[in-house]
Amino acid sequence: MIELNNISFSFKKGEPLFNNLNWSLQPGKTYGLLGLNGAGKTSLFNIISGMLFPKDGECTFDRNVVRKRHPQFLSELFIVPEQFELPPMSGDQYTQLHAPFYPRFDEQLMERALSELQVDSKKKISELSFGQQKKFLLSFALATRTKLLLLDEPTNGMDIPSKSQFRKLQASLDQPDRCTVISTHQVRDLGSMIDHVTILKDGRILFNHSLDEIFEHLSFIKTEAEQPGNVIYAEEILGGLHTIQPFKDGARNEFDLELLFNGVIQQPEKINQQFNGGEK
Amino acid sequence: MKTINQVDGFSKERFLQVVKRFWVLNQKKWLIGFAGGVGILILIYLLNSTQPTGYGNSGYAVLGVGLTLYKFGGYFLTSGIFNELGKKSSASQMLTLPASTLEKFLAGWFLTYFLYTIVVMGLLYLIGLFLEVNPILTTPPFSESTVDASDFYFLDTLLTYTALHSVFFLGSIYFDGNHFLKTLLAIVLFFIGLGIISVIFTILIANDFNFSYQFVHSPENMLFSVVFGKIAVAALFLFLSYRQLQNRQIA
Repeated sequence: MIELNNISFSFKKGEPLFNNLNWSLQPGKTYGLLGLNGAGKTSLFNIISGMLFPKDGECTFDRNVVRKRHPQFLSELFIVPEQFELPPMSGDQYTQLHAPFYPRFDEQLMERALSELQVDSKKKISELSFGQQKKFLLSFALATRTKLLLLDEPTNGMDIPSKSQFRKLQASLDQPDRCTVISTHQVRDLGSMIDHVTILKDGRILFNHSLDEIFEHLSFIKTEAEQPGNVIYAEEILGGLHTIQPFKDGARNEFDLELLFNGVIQQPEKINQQFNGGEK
Repeated sequence: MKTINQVDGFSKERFLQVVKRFWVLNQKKWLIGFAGGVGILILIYLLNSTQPTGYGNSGYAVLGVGLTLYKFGGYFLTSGIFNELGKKSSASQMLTLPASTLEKFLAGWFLTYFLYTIVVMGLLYLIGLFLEVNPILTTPPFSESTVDASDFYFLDTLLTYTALHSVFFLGSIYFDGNHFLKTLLAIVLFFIGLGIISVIFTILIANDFNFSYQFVHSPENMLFSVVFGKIAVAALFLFLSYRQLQNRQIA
């Protein structure tokens, strides 16, 4: 669906952000794009959505170059940026003006999402709190039913019940053709929503595996304070350690996305080694 | 809700939806601008009609100021048409709006040039009818020389707006903020630069000065140069605006 081939990008007068980056996104999957601040998550979203042009390489959506911003591509894309400013109009008016551009826009889903996230679409959007605005835009984004949905830090600014409500809403949707990419550094918020983990560091993809692959190759085990010998990465928790270990059949797997993220950032070679049959 | 059938090439439906969107986003500013313009014209009329110079002069004054407001009001409103692009927080709304660059470009041009000119000229025409003085837009009962001069003034106003509108249109896409002031400054600096170059050029080839002067100031050439020059400027800047919109990236 989306192919990034040998993407190189740098801001004016800056260090290169991406150098020969390759990434492929498939329909029906929800990708978690994780990374530290400044890793290039937002820039990558802007390149995928055709809002930034790579210096070298190509990003294509169903084999069409995205930087050309063809309406057919744009009508299959919706992006919720981390920081956004919505026009000064009511939510209903925004929907009336923008929904016609999306061929599969689902009005019922829009109403359901607004109701579950408790957003009043009669009010002027620009006068709502940032969290309310975000919930409105997320509702609209889900209702567009585009093939590609990019969510940049979707839960930033949302209160705890709304985060939970959003997760439930997203999980309840049947979206076999949709590819959703969620970028975040708040990994705990979205751990239950994704089925593929991609970790970006210093403009490089450090880790890129589905949850199925992760469960086939790694075990997340809570242990006593003393570290067993084959621990790849460990973090102290109350009463012991939470560890990442090579896959152990029959062991109780207590997956923790934050632990995986920290492990990959600290020990990328050791963790990736497990996916290559334990060889360096 | 009716959705737009996404087709290859230019789509009238998408174009009209973008026009509608631009209108809704800018309607408050535009309506305030129109109301302010009408208010100024009423004030000019009232001030002039109390003067001993007579009724006819009020009409002239009102329409003269009206044409000036048409130009500068238009430049100001044109400057803001793509202001979403100037901010990182709002650029995605315009850049990822599912319409082609040509449709977005034409929608902006249609509103700020075509529709704006028809509405304002229509309004000035009505004001002229009301004041029973319309030397600019209708055939007036004046001497031939006055009619010619008025017609030229009207045409010149329209051509000047056509040319400078395209410059402000480019400014609205190119600059990230304060579009009107930055474009105005760019125009002023351009003319200062042009003046300096002209002076240097004149000094360097002083012998040819008389020839150039005579060429430009013969009446046929002057009219042709003005009309052609302004249309050429408009075409050039509209082309540059389209290219800029096509290559515009998030701020």
